[in-house]
Amino acid sequence: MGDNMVQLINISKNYGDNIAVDSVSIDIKRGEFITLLGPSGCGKTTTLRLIAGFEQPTGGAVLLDGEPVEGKQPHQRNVNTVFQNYALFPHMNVSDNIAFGLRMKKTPREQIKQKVSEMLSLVQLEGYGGRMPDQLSGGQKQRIAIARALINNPKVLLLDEPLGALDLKLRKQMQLELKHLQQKLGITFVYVTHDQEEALTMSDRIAVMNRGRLEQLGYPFDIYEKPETRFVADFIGETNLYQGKVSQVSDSIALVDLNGSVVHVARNELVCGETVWLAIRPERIKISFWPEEGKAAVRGRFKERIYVGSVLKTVLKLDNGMEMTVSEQALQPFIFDPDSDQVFVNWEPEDAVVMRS
Amino acid sequence: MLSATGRWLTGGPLWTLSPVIIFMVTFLALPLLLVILVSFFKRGTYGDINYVFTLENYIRMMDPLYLKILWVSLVISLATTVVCLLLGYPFAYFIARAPKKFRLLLLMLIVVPFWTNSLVRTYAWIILLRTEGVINTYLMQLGIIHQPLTMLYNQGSVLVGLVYTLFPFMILPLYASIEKLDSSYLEAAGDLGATPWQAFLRVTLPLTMPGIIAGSLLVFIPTLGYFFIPDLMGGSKTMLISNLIKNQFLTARDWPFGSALSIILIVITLVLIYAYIRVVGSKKDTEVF
Amino acid sequence: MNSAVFRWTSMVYSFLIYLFLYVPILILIVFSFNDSKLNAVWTGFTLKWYGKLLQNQGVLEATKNSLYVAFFSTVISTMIGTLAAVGMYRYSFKGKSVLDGLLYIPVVIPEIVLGVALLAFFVMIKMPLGLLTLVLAHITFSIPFVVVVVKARLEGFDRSLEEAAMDLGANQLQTFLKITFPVIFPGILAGALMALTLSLDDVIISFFVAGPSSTTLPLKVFSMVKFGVSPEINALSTILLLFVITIAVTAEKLRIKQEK
Repeated sequence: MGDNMVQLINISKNYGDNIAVDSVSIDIKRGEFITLLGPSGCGKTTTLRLIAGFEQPTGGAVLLDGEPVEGKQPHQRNVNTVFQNYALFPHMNVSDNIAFGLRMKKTPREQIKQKVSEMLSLVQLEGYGGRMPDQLSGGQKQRIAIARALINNPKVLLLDEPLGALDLKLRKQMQLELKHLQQKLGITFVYVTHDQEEALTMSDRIAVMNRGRLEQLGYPFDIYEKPETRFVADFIGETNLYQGKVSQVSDSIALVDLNGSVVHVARNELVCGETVWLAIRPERIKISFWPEEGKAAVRGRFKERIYVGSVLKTVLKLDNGMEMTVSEQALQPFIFDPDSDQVFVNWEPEDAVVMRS
Repeated sequence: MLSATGRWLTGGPLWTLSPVIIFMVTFLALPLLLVILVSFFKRGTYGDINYVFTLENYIRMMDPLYLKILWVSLVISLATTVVCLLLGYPFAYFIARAPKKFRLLLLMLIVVPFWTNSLVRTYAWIILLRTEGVINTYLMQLGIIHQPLTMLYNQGSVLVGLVYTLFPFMILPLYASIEKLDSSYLEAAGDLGATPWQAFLRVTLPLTMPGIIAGSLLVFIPTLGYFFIPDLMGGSKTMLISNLIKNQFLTARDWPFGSALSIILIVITLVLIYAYIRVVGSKKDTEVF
Repeated sequence: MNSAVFRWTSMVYSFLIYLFLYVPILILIVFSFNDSKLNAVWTGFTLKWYGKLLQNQGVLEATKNSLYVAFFSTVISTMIGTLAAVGMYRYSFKGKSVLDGLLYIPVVIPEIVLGVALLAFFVMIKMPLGLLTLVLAHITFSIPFVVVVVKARLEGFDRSLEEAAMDLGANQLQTFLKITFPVIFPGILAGALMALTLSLDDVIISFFVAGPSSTTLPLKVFSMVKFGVSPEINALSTILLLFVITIAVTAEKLRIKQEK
């Protein structure tokens, strides 16, 4: 048995001319919580459905626990899915919904009964067995859907935006519950969402997808702090993104020309004259009256300030014509001089992420 | 995300769809084609069909006698439609604007007679309207009239019978289109200075036009075929195209001519449906804006 | 318009319309219990007209025929129609719009056309007019209604339910029997009840395809009415009316329930 529970090897899926998934390769480790993250239409749900077996790939292969599953139907794969809208059978009560998987396997009645009550207590809904799905709240339906999917002891649990229909507060609570459940059971979770905060909160690793392609696969910290593509930098969190040209390369640093303002960045094997993109997180930038020693600095003017509770966002118009957003702690903001509002924005060279695409 | 196509269900189309196709082709398409064919043949001497191509059946319809029957049929159908619309529109409007909890009940009360046998409903009116009927008897008992009124066996009574039978067909589409109408449009019209009447003419009426047209078709088309209403309520004086067709097939045994008359009904229906699709189909796009 | 005035006018107007719709039927029912044969003045309560019906061989025969035709046409049209609805909902195929059009025809053309067409067809293929031709004709005009009703139910059906069942280990047959069928069953039942009432009520098409020895109830009523008005017809009409209304109200309740 290898280390990988699910392996996607160059899988593709087209519907006619429409390419939903474009040669995606991901290795998912045993017991890992991995999230497929991206905007709607990026191919994340299709990828999930390819693993579940609801769709067959038009190219590449899916391996489950080392075994290729080509042509195997959903009920022949030891994976289960929690659907976006729960898909609880409306004509069955909660117990019958949960028991469905075991009934299909012709498990003895006594055993089913015991397993169902185990599952109900796992999702903390003891005593709800006799209710019908339409008598449950959104959060309760969600838990029943999870219990139903887990009763078959799947090797992998696939979750398709399972919290999408819940309100914000309940969603936050369920995120943690799901995470704890996954840690307790040790089952591999493949989770689909378009909510980056959710992905950062819950995942061991995140696969960011866009237009059917895998943009970046990495730990939440790396996805946020070291985006590898412009799309990832832009999609995850707020960022200042600029196009520039490498104007000079030395031993440890390189200089990048941003529309006339030259800033220094970490060297990163850059070549003189190439076009690159710089991404700088607003919270990494400081405003000061004078350029600070050892930092990249550009001169600009105050444009506007937006108070968003815990932080204060300041938008500046830089001398090179670009705009930059800076986040500061709302309690200790930079005080502007109303007469001379000329200031400098400063950041550590290594805080500017350089991307070639 | 793209919706599921369920490709793993193979062979499904064959076993789900072949029964309906076989049945509808055999007992619908073929018989209708047969009627078209027969309408171009000659009538045999003994009421059989002489398989010789002819246009005679269609030419025969140009006879003023038959043209008049067709004309009267169309006028009566149109009158039925107009009466249903005039009676039905305000009514549909009221139930669509009734408190929500009553709406379903009010609608149900319309649908129930729609389910009862149309023949029984026609008979109910005969009991009421005939010379020795309920209305005449009670009016005479009360001394309001001294001679029984002749209310049955004329075109007026046929009209009553048809309106009564087909009224629910008008209400349902009208109700659907009126209920869908967002009252904020009317508020906006009022806000912009329209009187209620102007708002009705400029906003309500155009937006509910699909329902008006659908309801009118659902009334107009069947009236052309309800032979038993003119049969029972029209007396011998009222001959409509439906009775004429019936007689050609059962009494006169002139199937080719009866078929040709049926084709006329089919053509009228198709033209109206086509016009409906053109008008309402193109309206749908502009409706949103 | 003043809203109170509007409310009053609308209530009065609606009331008048309901009177127009219900009074003739109510009078028909009331006079089925009337002692006098004249069907015009109330003279006293009786059940004798219902008793007479029970001795009327022709009426009993017609009742038997109607039930026979209604039973078989309902069962068969419901099966064909349900399968068709499932197939049309699930698959896209060439000629789908042709099939759609074919199914619309019986709904839109005047019934008399279908009646004479089937008559011509049955005579042409030398099938004797009788119960079989009645059943076949009734199936033909019922199928489109069953398809529409079942399809409406399917459109509200969440496809992920089927996927969930497959995902939990059900094969195709189990998925259909345990999930799809139970969920769309109210739709199928509503479709079946609709086919049943259509069959029990049909006059026009039956008129053409019934043989001399296979009169149905509505046709019996028709021939009796042509003969003259009698309280016996009132009684027969009342029975037919109550029977069909019971079925129809059940069907309508199902339809409303499933829309919720």
